Amino acid sequence: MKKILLMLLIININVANASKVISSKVKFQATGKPAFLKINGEGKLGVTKLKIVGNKLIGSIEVDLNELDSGIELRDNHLKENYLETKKYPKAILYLDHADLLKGSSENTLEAVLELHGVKKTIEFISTIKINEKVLTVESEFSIKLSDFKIAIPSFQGITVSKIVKLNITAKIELD
Amino acid sequence: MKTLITIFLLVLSANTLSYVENVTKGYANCMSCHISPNGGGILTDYGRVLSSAMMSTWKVRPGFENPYYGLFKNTQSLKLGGQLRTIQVHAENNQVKIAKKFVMQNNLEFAYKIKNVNIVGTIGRQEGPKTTKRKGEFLSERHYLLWETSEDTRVRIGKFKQHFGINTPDHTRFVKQSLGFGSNSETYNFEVSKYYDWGEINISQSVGDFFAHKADDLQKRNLVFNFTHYGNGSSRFGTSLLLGRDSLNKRRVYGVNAVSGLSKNTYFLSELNYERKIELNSSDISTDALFGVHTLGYKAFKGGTGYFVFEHSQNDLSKNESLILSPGVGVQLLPIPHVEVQLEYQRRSYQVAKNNPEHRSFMIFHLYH
Repeated sequence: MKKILLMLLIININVANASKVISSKVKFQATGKPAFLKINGEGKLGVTKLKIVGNKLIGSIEVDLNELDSGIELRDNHLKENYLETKKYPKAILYLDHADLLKGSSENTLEAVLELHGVKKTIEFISTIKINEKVLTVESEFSIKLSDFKIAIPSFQGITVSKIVKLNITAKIELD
Repeated sequence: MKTLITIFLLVLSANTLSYVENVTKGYANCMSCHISPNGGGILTDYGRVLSSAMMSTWKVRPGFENPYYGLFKNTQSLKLGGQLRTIQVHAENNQVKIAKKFVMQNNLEFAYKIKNVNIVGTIGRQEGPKTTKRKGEFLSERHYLLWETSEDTRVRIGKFKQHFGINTPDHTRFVKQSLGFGSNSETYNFEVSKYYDWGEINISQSVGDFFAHKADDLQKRNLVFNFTHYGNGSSRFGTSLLLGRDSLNKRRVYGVNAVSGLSKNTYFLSELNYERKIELNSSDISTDALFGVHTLGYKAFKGGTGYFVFEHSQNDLSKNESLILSPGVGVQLLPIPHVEVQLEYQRRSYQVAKNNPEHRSFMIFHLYH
């Protein structure tokens, strides 16, 4: 138990400083039925604390949900107020506590904990990671099930959004 | 009474067009906004909200997007709509100068839903320039039953325009008119549409217009296939095939089309159709034709779009003199929900009179209630 606490402390010390996000894009896509309407939205990474220790990528990535933009103000407000409840849960946070990086390969299967809408859930996804000196270039794609995060299925004037939402994160981050 | 009805129809009218460029905003097909699977005509509740939230410069006041600018509120089963479209046209070349102003379209539309079946119909009158046959007479452009057999399948029977290529408002595109898909080209059809996450398939068979005046009825019968692949949420690419015949000819039309968002505010629409027509009296005589329309648009601000358009047609590929080229520029303004103003200029040159191009401009004022 002491060992675990000590490890957590070391991790927290290591990633206490925010990394510099050079560029980032967080995209989401949901399908609305019955018209197979594609709802595309975008956001950016917020406070990012990442560090490579050995062959592990550790730290956290935040996304400010109030910054999400799907191109229609009314739709954004509807999504944030009624479904994501951003007043209560303004951020989505991805915790990378022990993401192993494979040597000699840029494609990694990572395990992380996603905190969204006040719910934490472990997710696994494939991420392309390139490290050039201190700059980390990352591209990840994964899907989440809204019900896993206790988010109601969005519905508006006869259009109902599918249960699964696709997410894509691309970022260039300068590590400490 | 006749005067009263006329005044009523002038104030309230029907049939809405599709704004195909919305494909670039994730609206891969027309069903989000229109009850008709192929677009045009009466709006869904979602379509009404979208016209205010995404398409118009100003919102006016809450509820203004409802039927008749907020005077009526749709219910779950009853939707109302209407359309009034007027045009002012100016065309001139070295010899001729024409200026006309007339109502293009004026009617009311309703959709009533019982379980999974929509009953849709328009009532209105025949509009057009002074020379239009039966101008002022009663006209129901569309009336059909639309059965939502499942979430992603639609079966339709009745009078409506057969879907072919990109369903743009065809009224001003002469290349669509040349293919038989211009104004008042609605026929009685049977249609099945199936939608998938990746695209759609649409098949329809026309059986003609039962109520057409004998003198006008060319007994057109078309079997049409449309296959469309949706892109990544901002584009669609399609092919179309028409196998048809009328009292004079049989024909095949092969078409390809694309709608694509080139950037956040730039879109491209393109449709190219090749037609082979064979005379029924003599199977030796056939004519090959090519028609195309291409538009590059830029949304400068919410409700304000500028565009370049290029139409071309050659109704006999063996005769170079049948070539018509018509580049142009235009502006589309949607200042408030359900009000549209469109201005366009085209320089139309005919191969037979190369040195005498036609300068055409028009302004459309359009209320879709």
